[in-house]
Amino acid sequence: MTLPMSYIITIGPGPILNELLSWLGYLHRGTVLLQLLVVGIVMVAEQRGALRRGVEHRLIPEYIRVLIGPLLLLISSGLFRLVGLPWGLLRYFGLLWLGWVSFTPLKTVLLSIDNKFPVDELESTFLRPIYVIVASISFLRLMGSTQNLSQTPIANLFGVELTLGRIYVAIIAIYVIMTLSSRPATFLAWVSGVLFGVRSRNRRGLELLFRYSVIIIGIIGVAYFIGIDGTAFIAIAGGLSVGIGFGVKEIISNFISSIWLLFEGSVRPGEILMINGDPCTVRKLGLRATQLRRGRDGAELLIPNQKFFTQEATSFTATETSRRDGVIVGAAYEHDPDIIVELLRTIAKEHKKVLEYPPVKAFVIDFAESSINYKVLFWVANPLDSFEVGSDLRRTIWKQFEQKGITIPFPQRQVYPMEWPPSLQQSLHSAGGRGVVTQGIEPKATGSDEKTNGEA
Amino acid sequence: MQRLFALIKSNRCRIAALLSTSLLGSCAITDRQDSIVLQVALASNENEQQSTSRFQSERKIIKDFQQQLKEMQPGIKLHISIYPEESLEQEIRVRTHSGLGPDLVIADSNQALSLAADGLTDPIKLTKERQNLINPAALERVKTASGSLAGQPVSQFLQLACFDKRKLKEAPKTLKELSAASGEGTVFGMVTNLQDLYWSLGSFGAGEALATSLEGKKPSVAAHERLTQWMQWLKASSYQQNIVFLRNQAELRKELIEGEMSWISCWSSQLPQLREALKDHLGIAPLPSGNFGRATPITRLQVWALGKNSSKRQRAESLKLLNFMVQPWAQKTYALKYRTVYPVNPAAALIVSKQLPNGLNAFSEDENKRVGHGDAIVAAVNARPKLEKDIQSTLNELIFDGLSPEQAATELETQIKAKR
Repeated sequence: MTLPMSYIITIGPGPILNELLSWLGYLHRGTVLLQLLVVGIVMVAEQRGALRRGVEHRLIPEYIRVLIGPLLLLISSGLFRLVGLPWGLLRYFGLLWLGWVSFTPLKTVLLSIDNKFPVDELESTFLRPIYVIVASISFLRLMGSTQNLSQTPIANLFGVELTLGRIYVAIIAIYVIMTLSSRPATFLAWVSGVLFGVRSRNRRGLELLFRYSVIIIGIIGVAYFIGIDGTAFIAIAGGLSVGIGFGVKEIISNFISSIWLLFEGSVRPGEILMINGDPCTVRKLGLRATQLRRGRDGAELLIPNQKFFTQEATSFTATETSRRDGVIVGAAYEHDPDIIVELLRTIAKEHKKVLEYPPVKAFVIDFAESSINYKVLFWVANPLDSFEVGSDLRRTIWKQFEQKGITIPFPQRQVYPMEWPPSLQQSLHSAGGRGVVTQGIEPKATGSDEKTNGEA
Repeated sequence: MQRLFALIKSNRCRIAALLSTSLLGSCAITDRQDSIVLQVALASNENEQQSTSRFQSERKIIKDFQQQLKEMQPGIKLHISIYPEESLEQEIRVRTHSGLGPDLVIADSNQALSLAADGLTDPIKLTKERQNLINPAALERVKTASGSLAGQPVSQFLQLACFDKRKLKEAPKTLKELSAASGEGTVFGMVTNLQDLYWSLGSFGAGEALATSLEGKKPSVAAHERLTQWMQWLKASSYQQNIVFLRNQAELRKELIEGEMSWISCWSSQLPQLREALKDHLGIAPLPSGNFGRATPITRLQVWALGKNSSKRQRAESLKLLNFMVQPWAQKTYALKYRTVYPVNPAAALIVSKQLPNGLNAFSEDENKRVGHGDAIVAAVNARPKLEKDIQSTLNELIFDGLSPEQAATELETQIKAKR
């Protein structure tokens, strides 16, 4: 089935342009120009700091001083009203400006009540969008264009005539759905948790599933509202099938992967996965990509969902969250391995984050060149703790070895300054120990390039 | 969202420059064409509830009218904003206070008077010559208390009977015929508000009782008796299976279009919608008369009033347009083209009356005088929302509940007399 392009979408912005051009008629009016002039003067004065300079005082904080400009406009509107001139434009711009600058004092007040209040999130997701909606609608109302613009058909999508008003409402509705869908989804996940005993770590996945459901239902609702009915949906599905084959294959693949992973429960928010040898916590399973936080450096990783779907991944939280890690240490040959093994086991056992079960185990793993190497293996409940626990154990081992006189052998390097070509006498002198520059501990014996302190 | 704001903030100078350039550019374009845009606010009295198609038929006519006007008055471009009748006053107030008020307001006579009284429009001074172009009775309807004119009457919409010719060969001429036809299975529809039912008051001579009450006097026994008779007819009609009372005109039209009804009371302003749906099957007739006399439908006098904020040139062009609109040529052309209005110019009315559809052509100049009473009553009711609500409640109780016609007549008189 091939659809003509004109059926899929036709856009006619002409009526909007006519509407905008009609506003120019207002510029023929002296009273409108006068009000705009006052607004312009006040705004320029504010921009150049002329208004604030007059009231610069330590007692008046910055967030109060920013109100001077809008208040000046509001006072001007009052004066215009007194002398019988049109004043509404001045009041409109004054209120608009006041609304804009009020965010700062409002944020300050909210933070003073509760400093953990998410003011930035509130501002960007709620206050500013509402401000834009109110400002644009009231502006169109002033211009006398609300009805005209809202009922102006500007596009035809799948045979459905879309008016500007419907598109505007649809955009707002979709924004609200996307922003607020998490709330009912969290509630539904919580109810499921209570009713069906879903574990808390699975609830986050469930929450996402509910969120997607709310968004999909919302978008279908919005589509029906703007007039896209069943027939149009079939046409959209037809269009998408072609699109999936070409351009949006990857997007759809990632989306389907995200749904699958959620159902499977292998990549849930809170899960700890090994990415390139680093433990990372899953922060968010998005529609396209999964957001992870790398424990090592706090970097945020965005990995397309299909990677998890098609490639292997190491998880420390799939069925159980405990992780096994180990510390390798060498001790001099002169010490009894039984004592060392026991000591290592005790040190690990005593750490508060090391699990009692599975038990700590210590092994002799190698008779190396200069030391006997041991490995102590332990389990921790939280995979992200293993690095810290390993560090703690190494510090304790060093201290315990120091107390008990157990040495950890390590290679030392001696540097001999020599002439080239060496004279026989100089070589002999060197062999006698004169003129030796050492790095680290000064050797007591000579004649060897490298020695361990265990041997010393 | 934050990024957008940051982008706007960082590029504000460029945006301002771009806007001012495009603004000046556009100014240049309009100036070159030497045309002026006149802002017009049009009240929509479609008597409909909020719905997506509320202004659809008006939009079509406006678009066509704008096109026509372009040919006749190339220097004038109309930018028409349609407002629901109930919010027109508030919208004009907001715009006028900002200096962005319309140059012209198109409303019915009652609303034009109300706008003038509130100082939202300027009174109009018509020369003797221009006054001669307009029916004196129509001019009388737009006279303010101070004697000035709230606007210039341009045309009038009439209340008529609309019927489906497939179901009803001929519209009933009297209320008796209406009752008889409804007994034969034909469904008749009316609206339960005073304005839309006022036509039937004339058939009983019941308008006098309301007019006297409005003056604050007690109606005569005979006038009260005639009002009670009207109430009795309403009550009796409500008992009939095939006479249906609905909330508003929109629902009536829907029922007629869908074939559920055969006859409805309608307004000439709604004819385009009915014509489009019923095509040749739409019949139009005068409303039925009664034993006492002819029906007294209320006309909606369309008045063009002058806004407060116009510049000198805009005012001059507005007056030029007003003058053009009452000239015989424009009156005749627009009346015949849209066949929804009756001209206010007597000369044009004479020419077109024979060509207008049945019902519209039956309207004579004398009607203007006859509807005077009804117009005053309806205007008084519309101006007082509380009174309007009380009257509606009385009519609803009479039609749908157990209120007796006698009680209803007394209640109605008392309510109008009190003018709450």
